[in-house]
Amino acid sequence: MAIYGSLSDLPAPEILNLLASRTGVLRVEAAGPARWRRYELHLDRDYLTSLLVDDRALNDVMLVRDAFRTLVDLQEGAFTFENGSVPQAAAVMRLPVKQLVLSTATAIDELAQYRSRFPHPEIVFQLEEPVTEHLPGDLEMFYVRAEPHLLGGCSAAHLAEVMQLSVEEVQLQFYKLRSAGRLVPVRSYAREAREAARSGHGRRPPLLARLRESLVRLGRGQR
Amino acid sequence: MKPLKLVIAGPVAAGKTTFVRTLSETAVVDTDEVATEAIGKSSTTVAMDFGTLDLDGVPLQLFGTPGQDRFDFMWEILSEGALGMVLLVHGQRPADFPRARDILEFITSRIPVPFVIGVTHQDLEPVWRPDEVADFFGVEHHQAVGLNATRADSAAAVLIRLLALIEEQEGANAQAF
Amino acid sequence: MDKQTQLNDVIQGLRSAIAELREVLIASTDGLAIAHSHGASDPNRVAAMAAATLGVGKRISTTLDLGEMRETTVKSANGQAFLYSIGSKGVLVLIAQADANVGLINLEARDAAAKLDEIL
Repeated sequence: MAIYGSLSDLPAPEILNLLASRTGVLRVEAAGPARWRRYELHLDRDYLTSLLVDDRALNDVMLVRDAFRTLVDLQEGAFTFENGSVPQAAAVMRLPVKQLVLSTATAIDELAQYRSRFPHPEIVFQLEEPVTEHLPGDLEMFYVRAEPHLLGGCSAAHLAEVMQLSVEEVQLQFYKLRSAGRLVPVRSYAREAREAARSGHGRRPPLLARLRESLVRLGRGQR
Repeated sequence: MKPLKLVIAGPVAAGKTTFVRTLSETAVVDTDEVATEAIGKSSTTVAMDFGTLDLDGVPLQLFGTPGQDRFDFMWEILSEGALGMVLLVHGQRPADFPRARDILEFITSRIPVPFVIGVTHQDLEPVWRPDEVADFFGVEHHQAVGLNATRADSAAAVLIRLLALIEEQEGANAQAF
Repeated sequence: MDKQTQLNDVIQGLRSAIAELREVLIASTDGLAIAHSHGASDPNRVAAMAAATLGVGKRISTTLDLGEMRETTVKSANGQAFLYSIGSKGVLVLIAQADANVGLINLEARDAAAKLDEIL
């Protein structure tokens, strides 16, 4: 088990989303200009139970949120996640990770920093379900107008046209929602398979079973 | 009988050409050229790697794609009409994951193709495990599998998982209606 | 004269010799644009597609025992693209109008490809 990497390649918002339901300790070692050098986050399933910056535990929720924000802004540094149970003695709070991830993702302001991370503007994204939590100013305004389109699936390019915004602006909001785990790409296979099922056209189950058995024999060195 | 087509995609140096060579029963037709950029190896695929596999009388065609963005038109061409896709990622190169995810989303948003993510280099440490990679990509755990691209049994296991996924998907659709 | 200037000179030479040319481009065998005329198309895309096409052409040649691959053409309703191997070092791409003089193009381009082989 190893979740590790560099923040310049895998930014904090994306890593935090990935860790949302895991249990263990996330360690971040910041490089370059940074307020603190070391971060240590204790994650217990869906909750953050402890946050240490430079080996000092933060007890106040406001301080924790603030520290999270600085984590999001880090452009360089290394991170590792150690899977396993967290030291219960160190637990001082129970903050829902998903909430933190949402506020972290929505704190992204810098278009410049994230521009290179945006996926192709023609890729269609969809909301798994409407966002009921409070969203900060800019994102809220965008979300209210975008929601009906996003529930059905929409690309950044198309939405930019509909909403009369620049494609990059829409891509930035998409990036925030995606990092918060709310927006997912729509795969055309899933779409078409649903339509095919509706019209009653299936594919070739007996053939697939035959292929599978053949592969199993191949794997065993038989033919 | 008409050959079935599988496409092998992924970022540069993930192991696509190796994967095709491991499984192919015929000599692989590759389009490798000298790499002028520093990509960690001396050659790179510029169009495709083509291999064939006969499974119980059913001909399978394996198409490995180039990894760089500039060849994205090849990803589309090669994925057209494919039975399924294997997206390969190097388990020790998390820096390439966002690229790989873009490739996956670019292809799957245009072309209806079921896929499996193959995570290579599982025999080394430290390395991202398949379920961890699945979480990063936002796919279900059973859609990602670890492999050693140089071993036939390991490569075959990836295709088995892909076929199982396709079967399951179609079974589910048949039942729903 | 530095390499880039020499390459540009060859490109200019082709443009002056053949009026119906729209664009000229030189790509590496792995699909990167090395030099190009000021045309409308994205040189990076053209370079990648040319390398891919030449790559496939080379495999056809090898597999069918045809010897060293030299050139290939894409003839379409509103234009044509001519691709020439520059030794084993790159690809020369000429994009011309549909009714362009193929004989002249081949003459000039083959000459140019030989020159480019020495420069690269």
